[in-house]
Amino acid sequence: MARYLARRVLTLIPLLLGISLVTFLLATATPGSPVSRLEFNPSARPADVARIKAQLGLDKPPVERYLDWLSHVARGDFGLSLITYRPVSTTILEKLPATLLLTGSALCLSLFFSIPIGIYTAARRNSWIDRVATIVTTGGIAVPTFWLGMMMIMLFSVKFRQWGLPALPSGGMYSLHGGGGFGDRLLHLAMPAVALAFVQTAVWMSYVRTQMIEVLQADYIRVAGAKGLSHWTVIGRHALRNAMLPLITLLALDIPALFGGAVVIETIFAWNGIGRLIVNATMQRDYTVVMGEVLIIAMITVLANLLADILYQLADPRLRHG
Amino acid sequence: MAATHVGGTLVQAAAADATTVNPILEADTVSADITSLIFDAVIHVDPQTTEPRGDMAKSWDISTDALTYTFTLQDGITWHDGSPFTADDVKFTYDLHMNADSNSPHTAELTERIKSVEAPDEKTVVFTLAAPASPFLVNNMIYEIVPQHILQSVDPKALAQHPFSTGKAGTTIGTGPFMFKEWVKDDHITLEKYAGYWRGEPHLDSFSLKVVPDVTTLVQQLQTGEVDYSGRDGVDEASVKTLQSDKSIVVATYDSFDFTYYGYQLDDSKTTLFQDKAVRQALFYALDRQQMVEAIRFGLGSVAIGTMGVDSWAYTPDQITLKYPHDVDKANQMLDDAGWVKGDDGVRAKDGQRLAFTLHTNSGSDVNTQYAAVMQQAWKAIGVDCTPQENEWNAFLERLTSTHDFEVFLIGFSWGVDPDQSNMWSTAAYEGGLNVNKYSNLQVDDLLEQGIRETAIPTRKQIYTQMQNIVVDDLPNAIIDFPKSIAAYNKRVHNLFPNAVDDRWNAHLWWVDA
Repeated sequence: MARYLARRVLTLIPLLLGISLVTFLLATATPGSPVSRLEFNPSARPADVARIKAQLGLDKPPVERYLDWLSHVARGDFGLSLITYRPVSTTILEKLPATLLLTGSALCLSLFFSIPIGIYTAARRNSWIDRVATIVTTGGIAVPTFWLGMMMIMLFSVKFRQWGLPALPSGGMYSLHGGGGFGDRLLHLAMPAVALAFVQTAVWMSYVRTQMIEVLQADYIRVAGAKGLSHWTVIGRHALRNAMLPLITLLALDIPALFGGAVVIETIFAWNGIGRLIVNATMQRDYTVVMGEVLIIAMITVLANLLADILYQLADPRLRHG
Repeated sequence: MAATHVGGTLVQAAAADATTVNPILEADTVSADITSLIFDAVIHVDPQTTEPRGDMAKSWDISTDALTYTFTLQDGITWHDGSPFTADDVKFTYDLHMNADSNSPHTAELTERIKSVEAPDEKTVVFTLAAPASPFLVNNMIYEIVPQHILQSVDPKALAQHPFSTGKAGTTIGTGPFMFKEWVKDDHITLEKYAGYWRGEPHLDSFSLKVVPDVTTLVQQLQTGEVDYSGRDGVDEASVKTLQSDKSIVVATYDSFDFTYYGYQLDDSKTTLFQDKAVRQALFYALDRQQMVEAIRFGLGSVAIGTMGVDSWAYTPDQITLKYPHDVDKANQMLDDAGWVKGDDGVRAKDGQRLAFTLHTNSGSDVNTQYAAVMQQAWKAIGVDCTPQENEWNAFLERLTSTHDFEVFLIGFSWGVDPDQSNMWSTAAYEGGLNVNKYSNLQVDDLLEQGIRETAIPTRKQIYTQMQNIVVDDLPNAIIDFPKSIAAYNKRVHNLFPNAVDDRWNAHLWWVDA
């Protein structure tokens, strides 16, 4: 196991290098530059634009810039933002907690709803609850997150207020009019977390249901039933454990997807996390921030994949390597 | 007077985050919206007359040769840390701007314009210019003054990453009505009042600038009260009806220096389609601009006559000869006369070259997208094949300013307060200026020079009218409209007067209902 792990971790290095190179190539190939706000701007002369570009090191050839960046990253230095001149590491780390709070809440919400409903619908197959759940699931998978988010804002923030009902804030993490308390933050978290959790819940619910149905048809379950155990005891004691193990893997694999969803949800709900950061940095051609963040998200993704593999091995002895 | 309206927070929206809180480095309007509350300048522009007015300058004197400007500063101005503001701070600020090691975007212009800045005593600053420059006061003396005692030991090369520039309470200090408190990047910047402000203690306790990138979200947040003020020009035409129907919101529309225009590629190494003036004019005649403003801008703007914005003192529509009223017959006639004949495909051609081109504009502007579509239709009717293409903003700017890879482009822009338009029409403005289509007319160059040297407004007005008439006839860029600016704010906000010049001049008097 230790050797397997070491081998896996070593293969991550060329993978991350490749990802950073591709990101750099894409970023430099995109037209525009971090100083374009100075172009088409009557208050700045071409000489000023050229000078500021040179001070940012943007006048150097791309190969030199990439190697420069790489050698700094190898020493743990992600450089300065080309827009705000603040350290890239600070820029990303100060926003990471917000994203973790959002994705973490969404994860908990999805698990909280998907597992019980998945089990129930599997146990009561073709009941009306199962049918309703299937329709909602299909809808949940089909609905684009951005559309769902905007509809929620329209309904719960704008229409509710017009109808004189208690409305939810339409965006941000807390109110600037004397807000910032726990309740205020919870109200701001509610909509983006639910919107982000919606699709995940649908996916996992259908997964749990399918998995349970499969397990419930296994011989040992029939035996358990034949022993005279009640229906729900069979499900709770025997079926659930076997059905849940693969879900752990699915969970690990889905963590990157949560970050991906956060890019959209954070932009819609003005949630100040790393998802919104990468969108802004891309728009502003803030190359160092884009590179730093892609590298960090890539690391999270490959580590989550690695975790999934390890969990799989632990869960299924047949896959265990020597 | 303050006692009754004290306290509260005003939240203003901004479409993007600021990039710096250091006025030396700033080149974007959002950063300016914040620094203008923290800092003061020597001169302000009067929102009503658009003429210079003293800010920290009590008075000023211009020598008869228009080369020496002597400013006398107000008494009793202090920095947010209590230390006194002096003429040395002004000298320090301008010297820093002119230091090539700093990241100031104004270095080239100021170095060219200013010969020296001296502070003979605490209350007097003397600027000596290299040549007379009439826009000097409203263009260059409006830069906000930074504290020498904080920044004198900072290496200008490291200025951009210094806490003064990235924002730190107690370090980012100015002389203005509000003090820097915190900056949560991409979310908001909060300022709190400076009780020792020289014009009087501000009414508000604090001010926040909140990042709201999407105009639909902004409209929602104005309605929910999460945002009090859209900021200048923060609202689009399509949202005006929604906001006006909300009793808690005031919608202000006002004349501005904005304009929408399209430019023809005049560099014959790129295309030869528009070398003939008749083609350029004919295309402009084909546009029903009144209808465009009515239908797409919901009437919030006017058909452009001349090149000067409506709010400018040099706006002289009556004296502009060519007004380009909508006239399809004339457009057709002009193209016929110029030798462009319709082919089997309905598109005109001359010497084997079809009158077909791509119209580039930026994505993210509903008005520009719709204008491009209307122009395509209008030009199709006179046998011109135009294909609109949207470009992401940064890519669009690169296309215009670096590669010059376009035939026709459509864009919205805003003039400065001074009517000097050298930056767009002068031959020299091809390199790095707004003259991206390579227009060149020596007579225009000469008039622009005269306009800068001449100081009397009536004479300048005549010069600019003459210049406009030549440019409008040459038509390198066709100015479609002068849109109005739109701002919205909550009724709980008082003493706020959105306008195209300066909405900050009375910020210490802003107050909100509790």
